[in-house]
Amino acid sequence: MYITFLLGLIAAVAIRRGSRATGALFALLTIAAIGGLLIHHMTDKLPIGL
Amino acid sequence: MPASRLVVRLNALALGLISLALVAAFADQLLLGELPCPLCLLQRAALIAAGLGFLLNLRFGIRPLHYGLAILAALSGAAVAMRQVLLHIAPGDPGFGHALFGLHLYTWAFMAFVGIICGIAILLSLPGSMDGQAAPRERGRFVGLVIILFVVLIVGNLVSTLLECGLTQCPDDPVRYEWIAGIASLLQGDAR
Repeated sequence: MYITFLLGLIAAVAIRRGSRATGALFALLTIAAIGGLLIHHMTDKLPIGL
Repeated sequence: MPASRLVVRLNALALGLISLALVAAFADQLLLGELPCPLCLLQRAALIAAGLGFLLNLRFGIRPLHYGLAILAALSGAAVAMRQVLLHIAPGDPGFGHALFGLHLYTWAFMAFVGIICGIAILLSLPGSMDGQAAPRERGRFVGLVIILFVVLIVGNLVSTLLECGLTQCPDDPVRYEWIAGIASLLQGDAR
């Protein structure tokens, strides 16, 4: 679960430091992690333990 | 006031409201002792992800990509919140946690995510909403403070989640901070 906040923090720091592409990429990765964890919560079939 | 400046201010207001919601969630956790469940944490993460879209707008100027990210994040958050609403929709189910003004926090979260999507639709409909594509030169003190608060809240959520769940999967109905309990038991073991 911590991974979503870690990705979000990397995105926020990148944006603050002026790196738009890195910020947008990590924001997208944050959303992807949320989606993946939601699917994991509903199915319990993904091989992850975040 | 130029339309582009108004849009920048509304983006700052949106980021401020998201930060306020995250502060309220922390207050619920720390003052009322209600540990967030995995779905609650995902809703917080989705709020943060939506905030990143507004942060991008404030830092680099208004762009469709930034709004797209915020909408995607709000959709994912709405899906998580709706999942939790449906888990507790059966008659007689007391729901998870306490209610605020008659609604549980995940129901409020669902409305907040829908509100974010509607808000972005309104922002995009404003005349001149894409005129100010250049990075804002002067953000002002309020915007600077909101950005700092937002980053601090992300750090707070990361630390809190690590303390609550550690590096493994969070329990469905958390009752204690796993890392704090682990450290306490380690210290007690050393003392013996």
